[in-house]
Order: sequence, then C-alpha cells, then structure tokens
Amino acid sequence: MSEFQVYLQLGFDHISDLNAYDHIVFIIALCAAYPLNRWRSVVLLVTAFTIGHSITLALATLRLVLVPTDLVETLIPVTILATCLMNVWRPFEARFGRKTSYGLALFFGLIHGLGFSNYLRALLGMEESIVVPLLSFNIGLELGQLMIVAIFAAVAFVILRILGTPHRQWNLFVSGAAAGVSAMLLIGVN
Amino acid sequence: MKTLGVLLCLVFLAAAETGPAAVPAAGPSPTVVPVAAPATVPVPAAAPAAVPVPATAAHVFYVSIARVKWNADDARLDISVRIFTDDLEEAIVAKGGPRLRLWTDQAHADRDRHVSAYLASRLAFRVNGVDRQLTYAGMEDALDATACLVQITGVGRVETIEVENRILIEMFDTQANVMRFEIAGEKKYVNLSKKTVTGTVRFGT
Repeated sequence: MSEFQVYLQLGFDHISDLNAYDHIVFIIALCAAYPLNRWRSVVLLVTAFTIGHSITLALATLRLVLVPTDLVETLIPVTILATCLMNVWRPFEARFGRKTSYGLALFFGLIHGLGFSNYLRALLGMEESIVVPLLSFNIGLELGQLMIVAIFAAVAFVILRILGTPHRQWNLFVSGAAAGVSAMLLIGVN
Repeated sequence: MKTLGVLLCLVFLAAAETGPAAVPAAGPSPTVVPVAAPATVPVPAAAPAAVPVPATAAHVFYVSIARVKWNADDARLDISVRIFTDDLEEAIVAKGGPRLRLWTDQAHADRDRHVSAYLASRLAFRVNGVDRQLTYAGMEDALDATACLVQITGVGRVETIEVENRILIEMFDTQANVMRFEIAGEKKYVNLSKKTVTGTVRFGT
C-alpha cells in the first residue's frame, strides 16, 4: 500500500465514520436549506467548506497555528447550530445574500480543519515530509463529503419529489434535528 | 446579531470550563524495561483528589501510527508507536491496570511498566522469519498522543517483516493501525485494523 492510499483511506474513513458524526451532521445542515434544483449552490458551499478546512489543516499540521483540541471540539457543534439557525431563519439570505453563506461555510471549514489537524499532527510527528499525508488525507475527506452529499440528495429526492413534501417543511425537519444533535454535543451529552 | 452574541457567550463558557491543556510532566523516559517481563502488577494507585477528566466528544479519530526504521549502524529496528494518550490509558484501565494520567503532575509511578506490558500484548514482530522480542525504550509526549518507543536489537539485515498489530482494536471497532516501514531508504506502508491484524512487508527485492 502506498503512503497516498493509506492517508486517503484514513481521510475517507474519518469523515464517513458514524462515530465521528459531527462532520456528517454539519454537511447535512449545509445541504438542508437548498431545494434539489439549487444543487450548484450546494456544490459551491461544500467546496467553500473544503477550502476552509484545507487551509487550517495545512496551517495546523505545519504547526503554524495551535488551537487546543477541547476548544475546537466545542466550536464544531457551534458551527452546526449556527448553520441550522440560519437555515430556518427566513430573512437570512434576503438580508445578507448568498455570498455570506459561502463565506460562513468557508469560515466554519476553518474550524473543522482544526479538528482534523489536531489529530493528524499528534500522530504524524515531524521526522518526515507531511505533504503527501496532508494532501491525501484531505482528498479522502473530500471524497467522503461528496458521498454524504450524494446520499443526502438521494433521500431528499424521495422526500421532495416522490412524496411531494414542501421544501420548507423538509428544511425545518432536518435543520431542527441537526440543531438538536449539536445542542447535545455542546452540553456534552454523548 | 443577538443570536451570534449568544453563541459566542456559549463558546467562551465552554472554553473556560475545559481549562488549560495538560503540561507534559517530563521528557522521554529513560527507563528500559524488557517487555517480556511478567506483567502482573497489582497497583494501588495513590489516588489524587482532583483529577481532570479528559473531554469526550463525538468527534473521534481512532488511529495509531507506528514507524519502524532500521538503524543499520546499531543493527536495530527502532519502532515508535503514536497512540492517542486518552485511548491508551483507557485500554490499560480496561485490562485491569491503573489510570496512568500520563503527562500530568500525577502520572503513575509505574507507567512505563504498564505501557510496555500493553505494547507487548498487542504487538508482535517476526523479522526474516524469526519471532523477535521487543525491548521497551520509553515514551514521549506528542500533544494529544503518546509516542511509545520500542526496539528490536541484533537486526543485521531485513528481508521480511511480518507484523501483528492489535493496538486498541479491543476498544474500538473502527481502530486503524497504520505502520510505516523504512529500511535502508525503502519505504513501505501497511494499514491494519480489526479485520486484518497482520501484515508482511519485503525489502530489497
């Protein structure tokens, strides 16, 4: 097995690991506000999120920034909760525009990236090049995220198109559920 | 903006609650304990009054990374296994050992013995077809992880390494144990897990 394959798999397994569901819940919350015909916006949002976490993953693994794990693990559910609240708060997009959403997804990505990097940094050490591990881990994360988006879109297709549920109801249901999960994480109930 | 304000307050409250990170108590431990020593250590740990409980979160990353490097000059395999400190301590407690509180002021006096016994129970090496004993060589603090150092001496050449790695698989179903081998500049990787606990790497072929 090559170094690239090893870290690609670690990244993919990490984002799709049901034990590490905070990232999954965040991706779902990002998608929830968008009806199926606005899939382009979802792709842009997820890309913004990826750019954000790639930046901090690199910075933190290279030891250019250091944020305590405990703080990052508190901030991650905050990003989920904030995303959910903005999903259900109708005037958000009208007032701030779509660019704000992409900017926030990027900013939240920065926080999630710190979460990935604290773990990777602890395990990698400094004695060898970390370019390949970092890059392949990130690509693995990205592939995992795309898989989550695809599964969510398939479920949304059934709910919205086949069952004919209004999108607003679906958004409220998903965002409410995700907000509940983030609240549990925030107060430390696992 | 009110919402954001409330969120920020929550963040600071939670951050204040978690407190400062643990400061490493000491550098690499110089103690050398042969791993093969019988590991029956009933330890009544001196229980400290206030013990910081490690923060648990849903965000988990069950991975260890081992580096196996051949030191040709000393005819030795140097092995460093990085394991998340909280997971390592939990695994030792689960086996009936004491809580080691590594890298804190209250670190257990017998920590090296327990860590070396755990490694001995979870790691096995066959070099060039011969079972080899591991010699524990200490540990180092690596932020959230602990780098455990073991050695195999008297290794003048390396053609094959068969390795068995069961680290933490008794604790977590999704534990992945990555092993990186570097023998005379040649690098190989294996990724082991509960499904596949053994791997073989060949060199100089």
